[in-house]
Amino acid sequence: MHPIELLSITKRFKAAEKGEEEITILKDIDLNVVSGQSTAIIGKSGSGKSTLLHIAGGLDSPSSGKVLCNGTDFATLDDRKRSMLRNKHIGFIFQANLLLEDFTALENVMAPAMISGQKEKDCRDRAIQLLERLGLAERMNHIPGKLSGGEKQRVAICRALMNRPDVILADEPTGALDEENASDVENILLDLVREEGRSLLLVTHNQDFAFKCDNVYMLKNHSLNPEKTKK
Amino acid sequence: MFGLRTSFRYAFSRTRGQRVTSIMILIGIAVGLIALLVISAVMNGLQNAQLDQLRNLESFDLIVTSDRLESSDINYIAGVDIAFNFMETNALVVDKTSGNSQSTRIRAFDIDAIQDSRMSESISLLSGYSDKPEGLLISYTTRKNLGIAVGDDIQVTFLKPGKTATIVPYNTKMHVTGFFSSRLTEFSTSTMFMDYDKLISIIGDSDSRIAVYVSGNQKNVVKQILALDPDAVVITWQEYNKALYSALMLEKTLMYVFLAFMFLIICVNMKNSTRRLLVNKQKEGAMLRAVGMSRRSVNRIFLTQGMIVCLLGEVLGVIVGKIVIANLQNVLAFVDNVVYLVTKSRTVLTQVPFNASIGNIEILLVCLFIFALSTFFTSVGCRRIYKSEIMEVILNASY
Repeated sequence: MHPIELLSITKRFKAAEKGEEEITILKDIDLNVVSGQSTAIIGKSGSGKSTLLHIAGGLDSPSSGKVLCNGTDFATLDDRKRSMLRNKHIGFIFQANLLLEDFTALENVMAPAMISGQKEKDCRDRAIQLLERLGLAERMNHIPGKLSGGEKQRVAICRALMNRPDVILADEPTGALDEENASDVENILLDLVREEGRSLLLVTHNQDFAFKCDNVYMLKNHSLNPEKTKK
Repeated sequence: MFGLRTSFRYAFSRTRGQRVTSIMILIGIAVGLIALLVISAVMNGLQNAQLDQLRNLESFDLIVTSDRLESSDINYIAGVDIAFNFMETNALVVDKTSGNSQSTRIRAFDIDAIQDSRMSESISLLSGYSDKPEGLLISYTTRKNLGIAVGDDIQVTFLKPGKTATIVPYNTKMHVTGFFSSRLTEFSTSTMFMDYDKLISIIGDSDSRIAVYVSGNQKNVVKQILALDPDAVVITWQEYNKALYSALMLEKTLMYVFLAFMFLIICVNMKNSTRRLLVNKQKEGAMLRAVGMSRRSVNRIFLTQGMIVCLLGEVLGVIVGKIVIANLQNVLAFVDNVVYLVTKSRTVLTQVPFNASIGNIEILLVCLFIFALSTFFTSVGCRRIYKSEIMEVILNASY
């Protein structure tokens, strides 16, 4: 059983105006995110990379096909159960880090664990440990407005790892960073995923970053084509 | 717990002026509530003062009509302060010296009852005596109308049952033994007092009834009277003053309705504030859903932030309102002094003594109403936004 399995995923968007045809973004895509491995999806802007990632995380629904998270089909779950499944098994990192503006870095990292009802002390200990590992010990009590872009993205990585999920889904995690910060975040993310033994599904247009992963797929003409595969 | 913490942070979020908006709404609710509580307490005070006068003078607490019961039987009932026989009849009073006349209601009872009951709180004896059985106690207003003094004789025409006719007039001369005043002007101008036995000797005792002042539970007293005589007719002060009582209740209800409009305005602001907060925080809301919060829980955060603002406003309003009510005479005196400084004339604010009061149940009901109203409007503000997919919000939201 894989942390994420995509089975024959097709995604079509309705036409903006009457009379126009539906737009197909993804067509019959199969993908297994293998446990403990990192997988990158590359492709041109607008090719559907982010859509595929969001479908994989249950943030969007496919027009047809199935998404299994640890063997459970997202489509069979109601909103509450789907949310619980995401909370337990999936960590998200977005291009725009999407931190809670009114919470400190520490509280932001604690959020997924607090949502799942874990004890506050345990959440705090784990969050501090993660933030210290990412060099944010001095910044943990700052609100996001007082953090730099790179720091914010590192907080987002900590948050994604907080609940020890089976898989991290990262959507252009370095897209909004300068070269130096981007390189830092890339290394931190890949190191942490390896250290913690998690799977990673990464969407990026940065080929260098992508080829640091175990598997690389190119999304082209609505289909996934393997570029690099770990045996 | 995390949801509640998030609600609190959102309610007073520093981002995009949310904190100022929430504080303004909180103050609006507090000020509205203070106004409602103080006005209600003042109305209660004035109404209670009026109703107390009516109960003390006009209707007593209970009026019992019974063929079997004596006042002494009722005096034994637990919760009864005092019960005494009384009678009333209409008469024409003429001052022979001046020729002035006036129709009046004569109330007769054991004159000692005035001293022994709550009636003494509402009647002031201005001059003369109240204990001469053959005399009349008249109001100061009537004295002025008729132009008479203590010790004068006046002619009183009663209507009494006749031998051949149903009712016949009966003229007698009576001594004016004293003047009284009360705060019920209508009562003072229309009523005279005389001794119960004297009136019985003139018109008989067929209209005799028993007046009861109650210090305990009125319902229990009524029950016990009816247990002693199931055929007795017991009229409570609420029934006796039904028209006025209903009018006072209507007045209060209407005041609440009008003041509720003020809260409607505040609540519309709450709805708009919640909607603005939702727009400001929609990406965060979507992120919270992405990391495992259900749609319902996210909606609850926004609903709860409105409830927090409302509750804090209510707590502030109740505390300040209670302080103002407890010190209302001082507040009115202060306002009076300020007005005097400006206009050099006194207001009527301090001239009518009353005890402003409001019950805890009334406060609770007002608070619950405001809370329900604000929650409803906040929930209206919460609708629709999170119906879209998380991804759409993350990709398309402006904030």
